[in-house]
Amino acid sequence: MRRVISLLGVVALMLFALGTAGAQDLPCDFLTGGGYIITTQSGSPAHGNFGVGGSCKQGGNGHGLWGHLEYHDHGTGLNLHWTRITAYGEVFTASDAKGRPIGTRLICGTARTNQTPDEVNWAVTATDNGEPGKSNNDMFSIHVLELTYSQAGPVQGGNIQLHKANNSTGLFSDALPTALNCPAGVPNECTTDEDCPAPLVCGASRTCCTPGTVGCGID
Amino acid sequence: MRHASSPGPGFLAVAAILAAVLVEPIAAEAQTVTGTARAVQATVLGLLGGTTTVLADTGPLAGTSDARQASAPAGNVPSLLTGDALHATTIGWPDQVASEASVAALALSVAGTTIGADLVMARALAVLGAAGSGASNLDNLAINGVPVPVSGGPNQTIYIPGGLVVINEQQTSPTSTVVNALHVTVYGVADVVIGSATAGIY
Repeated sequence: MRRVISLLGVVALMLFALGTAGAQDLPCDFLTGGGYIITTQSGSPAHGNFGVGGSCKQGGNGHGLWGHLEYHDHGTGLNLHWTRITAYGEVFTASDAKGRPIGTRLICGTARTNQTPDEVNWAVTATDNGEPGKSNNDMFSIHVLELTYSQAGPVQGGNIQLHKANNSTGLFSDALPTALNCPAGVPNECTTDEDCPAPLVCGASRTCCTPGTVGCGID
Repeated sequence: MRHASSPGPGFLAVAAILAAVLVEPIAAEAQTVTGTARAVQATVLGLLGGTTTVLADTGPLAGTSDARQASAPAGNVPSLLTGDALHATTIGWPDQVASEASVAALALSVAGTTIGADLVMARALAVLGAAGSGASNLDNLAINGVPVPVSGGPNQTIYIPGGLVVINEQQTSPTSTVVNALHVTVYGVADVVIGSATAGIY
């Protein structure tokens, strides 16, 4: 749990850094993947099976952005079926030895589950570390806000794939994760500065904010 | 005597710009793309014919700027198979098409043969001007409880009572590549494909 929270903190920090650098104006791309990780939420190792997709492209049919998430933890029995994709963010991007894109994306959304009466907010970070996925340690993590459920690990079977932008994807700024559209991925409420990923601090309104902005040290 | 006037350089520049604007998008859309992916296609044969069930099917790609997806939390073909986290995508670009489909926790039972796998995944890639390529991921594949080593090569075939299992089945043509991660045929009983991805561009 602590490891996943710190991972999300790193994600928030990198999104903040990319935002200030203007990197969100870059053409957006696609991430797709399927496979499983080893989960321990139940107390014993089990498979967390997933199928995931994400992009800044509009998904159509009232589902927000293009993408999806299917997730089943065979240890806890949690079964999660996406209903909307609300955000898609670039955490980092590089190239492998063959010049193909690799990197990490943050995908956020809402979902129905078999363990909650109402929809939940979730955030997934997925990393394409090159080919093949299992040997190169593609990574998958999931955080479900309302269930306080967090699991992460290398993809044991399957593959995560980053794909370049096409004419329909728009810019990263079209889908930037925020505390509003990605509450499971971008921390918001706080009591002290330690609750917020650096360089964010806990503002007077008890939400994480950027120092020196209105409501965060400046009236 | 009147002299016919020639088009000025400004007119020619505008004409050239218009020609470039009109011609370039037409050229970019000249490619024909083929893309589709489905997690499961199962045909159960009977005396009166066959019943085909398709789960998580993207449908065909509409063009070089299209991206399609399909998913389901679970898949169930009664008395035949179950699976988890069904996933299928196909994406087009002016110079390539990429398709993939996967099923986790596969449990298949047909004519007395049981087949299981933690993960079955097919991927197909078509690049303009190059040969298509495909790959499959099969994790912990077992037939009747016996682990099956997956070679990674195309069209690995294992014979079962009344039929065969083809792993990483690949069918290539000048216009498309089809990858079926797991294709199970029991003659006269069932024809099942788990993880199918098609990609083509020309």
